[in-house]
Amino acid sequence: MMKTVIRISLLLPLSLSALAAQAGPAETLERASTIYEQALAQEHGWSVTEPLIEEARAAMAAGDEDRAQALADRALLTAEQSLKQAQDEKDAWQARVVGR
Amino acid sequence: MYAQQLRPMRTLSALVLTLAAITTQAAESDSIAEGREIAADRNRGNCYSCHMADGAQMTGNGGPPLMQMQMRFPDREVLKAQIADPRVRNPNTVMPPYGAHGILTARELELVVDYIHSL
Amino acid sequence: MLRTFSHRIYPALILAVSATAIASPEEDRNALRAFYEQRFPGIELDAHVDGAYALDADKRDQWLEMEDFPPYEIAIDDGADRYDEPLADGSSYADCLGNEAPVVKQYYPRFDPASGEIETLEQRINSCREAAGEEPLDYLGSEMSSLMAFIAYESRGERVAIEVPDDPRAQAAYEDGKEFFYTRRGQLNFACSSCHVTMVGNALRAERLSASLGHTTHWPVYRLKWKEVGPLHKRFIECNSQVRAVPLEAQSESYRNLEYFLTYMSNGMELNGPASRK
Ligand code: HEC
Ligand code: HEC
Repeated sequence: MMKTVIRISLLLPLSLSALAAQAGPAETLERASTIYEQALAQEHGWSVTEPLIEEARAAMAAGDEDRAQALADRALLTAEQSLKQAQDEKDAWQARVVGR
Repeated sequence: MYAQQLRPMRTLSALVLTLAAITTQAAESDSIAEGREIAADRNRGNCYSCHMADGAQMTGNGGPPLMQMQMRFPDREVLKAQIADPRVRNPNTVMPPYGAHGILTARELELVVDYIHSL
Repeated sequence: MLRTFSHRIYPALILAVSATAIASPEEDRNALRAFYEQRFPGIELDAHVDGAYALDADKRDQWLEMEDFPPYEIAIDDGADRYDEPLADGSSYADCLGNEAPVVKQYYPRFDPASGEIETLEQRINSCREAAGEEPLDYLGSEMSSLMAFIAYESRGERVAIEVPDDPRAQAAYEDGKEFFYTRRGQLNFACSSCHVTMVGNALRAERLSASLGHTTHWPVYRLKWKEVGPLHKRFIECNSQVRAVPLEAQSESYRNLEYFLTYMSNGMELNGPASRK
């Protein structure tokens, strides 16, 4: 039950993420974090996302906007793809079952 | 007179052209070397965990040997697509989607493609 | 006319499809056994309890040498002492683990009708402790691993005998474990099955990929890499991490369900724990 509710609520943010491209690193990072949390809740988080978020924050703190944006974009990509993987795999795994 | 003045100029431009050619060639082999390094790196490409390739050590065999790549992939873009997202060609592949999942950055991907295409 | 017809036939079709989609655990087990049998014609299925060493004669020889002086022996001895020590209320593990204790590894993990969840042997040990007024042990710690090593040693030679009872919660747990096994995870996009089924027997760099049959028979394991005896869920954590997935907690519900599925696949195979691995 819980799982289903979570799954449905997850479908929304993906479609919005295209907008993030125009935003600054802070906004991109916020999106990345939100989506990453959603992937985590489905036990589908990627271990690369959080370090990228942290690196981007450090670059922001150091005043390196370009580097911060590049890292934030990568963090967002990995977060989005991890959530997409979670969604796709809901059905896709069945095709791999041996003997099926 | 004009001709006389022109001659050294021509020699100079020829020299510049030759230099340019040499540097592009150097740049090309640099990119291949860097691509090879990325492909071998366990934290980036790690391609040898599944592929045999000329000069690579301790290679696995989950995928086909990477050889005669220009012949198999005359179009560099097709090769790039295989590395960026092998699922497009084979949904059941075990090869990771290096571009689609951001395993390699766009720059790293180009370098790896250069290297693989040189095999 | 046609409409009514299709309306009638659709529900029937859907029923038929969903009935075939959910194979019984026994069908799954037989299919997986048949797969490995075909993949490795020269290898007895029972040999897979030795993991990658069943597939590579050279590595097997090196490993047998290592097993001459079993690096997990200290853990067995330590576990035996702990097992015999009375608990806070004067009771013992033996009282708590049932008649056949300590020969009980073959029955775990099992479905616990009271909680509706899968109970692993580690959890059982901790509930024994808590019922007797003791603190639970760390699931990844050496005390738990020692106790597990002793029980595994005493259970050697028994055959895995776990059940998926006729209870929808047990079946759901089994299905969930099966889904976990076949689901791609991590940035590198691997399912457990990508390595241990699709690529089984292949070399990943220098490592031969073992079959999933027998994956649960020999725990806990002394690994050279760990330099200690550790539990199955520590290996799950490692196999998840190496594909760049955020690993789950040891003894989390998903890992317990995964263990349930995997252990069912090894039903009938001989217990041979503890073991050593590279
Ligand atoms: C986990 C194993 C694995 C890893 C790691 C891997 N590959 Fe592959 N690769 C495969 C498999 C399997 C195929 C066969 C076709 C398919 O399934 O997509 C393949 C196919 C290919 C092909 C097409 C070969 C042909 O002759 O058609 C190329 C090129 C390739 N891989 C390049 C790479 C590069 C470059 C890397 C590293 C950046 C890499 N692979 C990493 C498993 C892997
Ligand atoms: C990228 C490939 C890969 C993936 C994906 C993978 N593993 Fe492994 N696994 C290995 C390697 C390599 C070893 C060590 C060699 C061997 O025993 O196969 C190993 C070992 C194991 C072992 C220990 C075998 C023994 O004999 O002690 C277990 C159990 C195991 N894996 C379970 C899993 C489970 C469950 C999953 C999914 C959560 C999984 N693996 C996913 C590569 C993988």
